[in-house]
Amino acid sequence: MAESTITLRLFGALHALRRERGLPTVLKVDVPESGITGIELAESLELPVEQIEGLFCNHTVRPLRWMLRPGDHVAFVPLGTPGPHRFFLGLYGAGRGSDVNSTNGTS
Amino acid sequence: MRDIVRLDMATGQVTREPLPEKWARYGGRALTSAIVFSEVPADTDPLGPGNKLVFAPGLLAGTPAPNGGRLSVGAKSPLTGGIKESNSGGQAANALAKLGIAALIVEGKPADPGARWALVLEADGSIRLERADEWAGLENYALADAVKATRPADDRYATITNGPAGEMLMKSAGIAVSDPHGYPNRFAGRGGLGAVMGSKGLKAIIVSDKGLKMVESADKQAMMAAVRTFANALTTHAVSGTALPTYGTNVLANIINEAGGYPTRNFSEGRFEGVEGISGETMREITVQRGGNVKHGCHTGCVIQCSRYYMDKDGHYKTKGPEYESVWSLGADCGIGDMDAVAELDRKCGEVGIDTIEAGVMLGVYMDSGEIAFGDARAALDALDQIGRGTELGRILGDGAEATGIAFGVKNIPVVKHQGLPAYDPRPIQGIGVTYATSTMGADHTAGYTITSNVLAVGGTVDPFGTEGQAALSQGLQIATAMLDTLGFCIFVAFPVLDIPEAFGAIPEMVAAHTGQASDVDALMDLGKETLTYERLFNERAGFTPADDRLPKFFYEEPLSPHGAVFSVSDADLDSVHAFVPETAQRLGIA
Repeated sequence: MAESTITLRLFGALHALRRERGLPTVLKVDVPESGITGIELAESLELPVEQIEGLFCNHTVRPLRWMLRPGDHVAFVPLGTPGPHRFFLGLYGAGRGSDVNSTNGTS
Repeated sequence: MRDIVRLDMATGQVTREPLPEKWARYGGRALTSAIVFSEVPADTDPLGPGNKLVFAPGLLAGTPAPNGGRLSVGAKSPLTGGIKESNSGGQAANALAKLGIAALIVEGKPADPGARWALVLEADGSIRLERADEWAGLENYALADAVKATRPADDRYATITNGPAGEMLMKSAGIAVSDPHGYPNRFAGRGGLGAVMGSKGLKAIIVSDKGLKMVESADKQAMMAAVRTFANALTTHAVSGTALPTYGTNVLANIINEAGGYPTRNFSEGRFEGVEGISGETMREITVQRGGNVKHGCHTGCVIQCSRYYMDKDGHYKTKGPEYESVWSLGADCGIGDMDAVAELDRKCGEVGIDTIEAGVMLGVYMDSGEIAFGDARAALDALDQIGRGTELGRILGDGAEATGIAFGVKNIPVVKHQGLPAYDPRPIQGIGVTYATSTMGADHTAGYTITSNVLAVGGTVDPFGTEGQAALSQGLQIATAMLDTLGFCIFVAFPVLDIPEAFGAIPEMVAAHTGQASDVDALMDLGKETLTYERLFNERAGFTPADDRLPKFFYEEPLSPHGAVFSVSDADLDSVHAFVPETAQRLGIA
């Protein structure tokens, strides 16, 4: 049977939100076989999208409009990553919707 | 008027002289590096009489400039063999600045190597050197108590102290600086400057600023206007206003781990399975549960307030909330995923007086040798204890990661210019690798920490795995960081500066208002370039070549999981980072 879930982790302020809701460290979330964008996923979980700067998909930073597919390992990163890593990792660009992290079939 | 104070340890004489006009624009790192470049022969023995230990508050220290109270400590490094500026928070920079001191230079060497000395700078301007033999061998917290016993109850003072590792001239020894509550928990940690202090027999510097006013600015009104703009930006930005005060720097642990760049078990893996136990989020929860202070400044005037106190299980102060790099080095790099164990190791480093990054990297290398096991926190603590006691093993370990790796035959020793790499693996984060390789300081994460792209027009966001643009980005970051270190700013001011144009504009406005001299972005960047030029030329004279601007071979050859990445920035790109140096040297007349 094909996998239908992604794993999701929440960092920083989102981690506190997860604890408030009594959710486990690693969430398993059902997603459509055709995929779901990061924004859609955040909205479906009622996460504060405006506080999310970017996401990791399989350990690589992607913009929020990145299409997530079953089997992906995902983490949401809120605004507030200190250090040059916000740039070195691409979070700064992801948060601003720049095209440095090319999309995968979404606009 | 700012002065240079000189302490000659050979004679015990203290002299005071005006800061030369050529250095009037300098403070902090620019001043320590200019002095070391000008007065210390590059080939001198770092632990001999020819080396000088320089303490310089940033240019804006002692003023109301928010987060502007950092201290630079400079010398020739016994660890790297090159120039060193190690930067610390704590109360000393503001106190020195209020006394009108631009730089305190400790030079020469006492005739009696067994003697211990304390330099006392009183708020009335008097300065005296006292014998302090009874403090020999004291660890930093006991030393802080001993100092306190000598001071009037209503005094306000800062301490700069040296633990036993520095007294024993170990190359990983750092210098402790007291925080606003008097704990000796802020450190000029990197590069073995504690050993330089130890070589001069100096156990403590005590700086009283009781009753002293802030340093006056040339244009007070303009200064306060710029200060308000800057403070507002710092306190409202997502990073400096929310994330750092809430979680501290260790909020990075989960993020860098997720990126596959969290060096684990001596840089053999990029992700640590135990990260949850030592993450910033977990650290906050533990601290709050135990009644620890989770938000305060490391120095007066800090408005970001990312410092915290970590408490033991009984709710007693254990150590400062360990920074991201310390948690990583003493945690993931050693395979240790328990926050209390990491805090215990952090406290031990603070007591003995060793750099937490070098200590953790050393422990990772030592564990890699098989002498003790990865994950064995008890054995790690014993190793640090041996450093403090100066056993035969401790003296090897106390000289850092490279010395330990050589002594125990470890193949992969993660050092650049003999200094241990900090908490970001350069294989999946190529940009930090450029900074590690080319920094004048040896592997140093803070060397390229700050403002980029839209401010400096140096490339913006880059592909973390790609090589294009990495050298230019690192160059811009290193120049801007040197500038902030010169002004005395905490590097965390960089975040609002990047996103809020008024915040960046406020920096030259503060400099101009304080000094009475016009300033702009270009002038500030010149400060950074000049600082790096002194440092680069010193290192060249000390024998460094482009071959020293490379990462260890295994980063180029051994792919890191989970990405399978290797470091691949070309030598030509690495060699381009300091392309501005000849022209700057020409302009300074030091070519």
